Amino acid sequence: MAGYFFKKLLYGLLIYYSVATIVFFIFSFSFPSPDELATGQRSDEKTKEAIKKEFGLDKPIKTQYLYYINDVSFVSVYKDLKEINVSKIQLISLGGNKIVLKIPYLRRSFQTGKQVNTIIKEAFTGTLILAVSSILLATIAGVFLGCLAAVKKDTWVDRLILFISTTGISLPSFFVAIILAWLLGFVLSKYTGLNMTGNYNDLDPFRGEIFVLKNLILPTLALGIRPLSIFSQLTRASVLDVLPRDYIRTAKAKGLSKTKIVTKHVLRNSLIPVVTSISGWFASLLTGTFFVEFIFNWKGLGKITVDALDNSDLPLVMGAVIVVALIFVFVNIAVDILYSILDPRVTLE
Amino acid sequence: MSLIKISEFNAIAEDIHLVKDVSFDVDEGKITGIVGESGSGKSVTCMGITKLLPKTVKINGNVLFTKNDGKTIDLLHCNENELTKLRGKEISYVFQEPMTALNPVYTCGFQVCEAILAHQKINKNELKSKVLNLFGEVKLPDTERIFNSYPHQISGGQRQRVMIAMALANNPRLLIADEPTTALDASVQKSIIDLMVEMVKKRGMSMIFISHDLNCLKSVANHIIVMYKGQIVETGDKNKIFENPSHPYTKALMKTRPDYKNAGYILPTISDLIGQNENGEFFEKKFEVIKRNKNLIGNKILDVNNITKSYFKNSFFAKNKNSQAVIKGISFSAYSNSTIGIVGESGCGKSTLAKILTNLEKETSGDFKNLSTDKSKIQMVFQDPYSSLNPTITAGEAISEPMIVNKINSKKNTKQETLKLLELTGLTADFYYKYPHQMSGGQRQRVCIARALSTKPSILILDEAVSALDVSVQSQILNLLKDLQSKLSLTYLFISHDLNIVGYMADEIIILKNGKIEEQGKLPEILNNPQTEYTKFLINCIYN
Repeated sequence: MAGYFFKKLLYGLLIYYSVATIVFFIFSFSFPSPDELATGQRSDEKTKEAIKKEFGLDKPIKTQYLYYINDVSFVSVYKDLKEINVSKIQLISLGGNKIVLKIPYLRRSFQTGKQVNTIIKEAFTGTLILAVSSILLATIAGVFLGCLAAVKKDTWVDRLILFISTTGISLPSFFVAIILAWLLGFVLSKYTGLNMTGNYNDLDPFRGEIFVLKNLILPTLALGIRPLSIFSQLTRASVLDVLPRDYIRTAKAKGLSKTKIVTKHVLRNSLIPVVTSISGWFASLLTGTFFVEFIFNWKGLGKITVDALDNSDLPLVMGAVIVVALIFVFVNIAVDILYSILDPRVTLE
Repeated sequence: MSLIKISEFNAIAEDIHLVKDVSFDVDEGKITGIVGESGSGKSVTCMGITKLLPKTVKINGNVLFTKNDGKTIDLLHCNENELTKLRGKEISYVFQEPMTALNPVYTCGFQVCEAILAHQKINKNELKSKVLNLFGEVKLPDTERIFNSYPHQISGGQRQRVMIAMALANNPRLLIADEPTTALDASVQKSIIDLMVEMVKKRGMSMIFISHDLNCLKSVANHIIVMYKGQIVETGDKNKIFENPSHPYTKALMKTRPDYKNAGYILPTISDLIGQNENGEFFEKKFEVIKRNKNLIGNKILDVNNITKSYFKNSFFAKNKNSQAVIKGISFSAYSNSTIGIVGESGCGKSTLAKILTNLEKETSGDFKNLSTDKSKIQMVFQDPYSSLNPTITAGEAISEPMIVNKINSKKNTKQETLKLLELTGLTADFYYKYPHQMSGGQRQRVCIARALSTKPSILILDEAVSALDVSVQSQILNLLKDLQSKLSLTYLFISHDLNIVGYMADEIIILKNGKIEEQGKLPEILNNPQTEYTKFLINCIYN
């Protein structure tokens, strides 16, 4: 078990540093340099030099790369800790150098000068709330509907669920988002009380920052409907695969009721293949919700990434990509653990 | 007094009569054996009486069951609720394959507890001690460990004991055992059968014991029912059936069994022995016993020299850390136009040996030499013809593929050759375009044999090649293999757990135990004069 985690952690770090390296080289060569962006029309050499120096771009590319890797590492070496504005623990100091344990430092935005860590942290909270609520909706409703369809196979219930889920799969989320926003947030807003757009937190004149639950409803629906449909079809197929198994016959032969057979013996075995799909979707919801965030004006990772690309804000883009890579590594480890809980034949070794 | 009275029981699926007008009684405290081949309707009948069949199978008839409280009810007219209360409490089941019959994601203890909780109110501590007692009763070792083990962590025999404990948990009045030992090793088979008979007698229960093997019922049943094509063809007392069978099918079943005594003869198949007239009545056919020409054993063709095989568990830091020896030094020679039978229980290394000889696995040490001149390859026929053929390609493609891959023939010749191979294995040319699902089990195994022969091998490894087949099909395939051997002077390595079949096929025999050769030599000598305890034990299990 411990060996397994150690191994996974090493693989994870390998992926993390590979992504950081690829991101660094691709973006260093293909993006316009910040001195051109920041100065705009007024391009006197001295200002340019100053800006280049500020971001460390006057150094050779090799040195830049080493500095970058040092910044995004979990254990790094610094002369001066003032600039590194992330939570950190100093381990030892050697001469003038200090070795620290810290979260990756993603530098400052070219555009606003704000710490990228702070920007991503804020945006990621929004995305996380949205992704978790949609995946919960999709999983609970999808597994329930899939199970229901399989148990009621070839009846109208099954056909209705199949029809709905097939429709759900074929609808792109941005289209659903627009329809939902227009229909429930505008045409029927008198009855639903929902807004067309809105963020999860809002400033209330009396109470300060508040959490607005109702703003979560429409984006969750828009985002959750496709995974919901896919999960329900997967669950249906998986349940149909498990139902004729011998151990279900055994469960029936020992006198268990139908509900008990389905909830205890069928469901757990059927969920094993569905978990793969759920985890994949969860990871991509965490990272690719741009359209929905854009339409509902929801402050999230997708929205800031696209804005950053638009503004050629290199540190922010690189930071976002690195955070996404980290998410995938973590979700993968989590899924392995979940597998071993669901299926005792899977051991973490 | 009869505990269950089945009369005019019918099961129909898509206009096909799976079971037709089956009537029989099971008396209290008695054991009834049902024998028949697959498709005879024996399992359908026994599943049908408590409505365990899928909804697509329509059943009708009367099944009168006397409950514990003395009331008699008709099971087929009970609703699902009433049946749920009966299943596992008054009528319980033990199924064939203990690996798939237990849910892989729950512990054995949990699954037995669940069976008790479905019918009794009992507190937690009592429940556990009750299950542990049951485990002790079915002679499971280390009951506490088995209680917390998952099905994949214990052996096949132990799994079947857990199934039996589960079936006995609520003291049922009727136990239905559907081929409970077919998937187990011969030595384990006997102990499981003995256990079941002991339990049933001790508790005064009744049992229906289903088997495809008439011999298996000899030591079990008081009363025997013979089923064929969905109907009962003969029923009677055990002694009457064995000593004086009246129905042609029962007689045929006894004659068609391969055995070392009839090794020199062509095996009669069921269809050689019985026919059916226009009124659907069965009659006995005359069958003349034909002796085979004795095989002239040829030159040495395979030399296996002290092969070992170990599997290594690679850990992250060190390679080859924990090794587990599966084969511990095996040497033998094979001669052309002869058969070596390799016998052993599961886990003895017989399949690993086959994989090494076909280069599917690499031996750890030792070597083997193929001494044949013109033909070079060793081919293999596998156990289960259902899963060893790709369902999406036709028989013709399956047979020609090895020739194309090994560049043996031109494209035109390949088709010619394939048709020849089909004919050689007793199939017609139209099988060229047939898919596996359009063929019967026997036909599929013929295709597998044709595929193995397509590269013109001199040695054929038959890994349990007839174990998954019915008695009547088994004898056809065995006849085919014998014919092919004399036609093509093939060398067979016939791997099987069934000493009877090996006795019919082999000239020489190797008994494997835990990866080592326990005994090897000429077949009659070993069978008549076994040297080791283990061989004696194996022979005793089968010839009983």
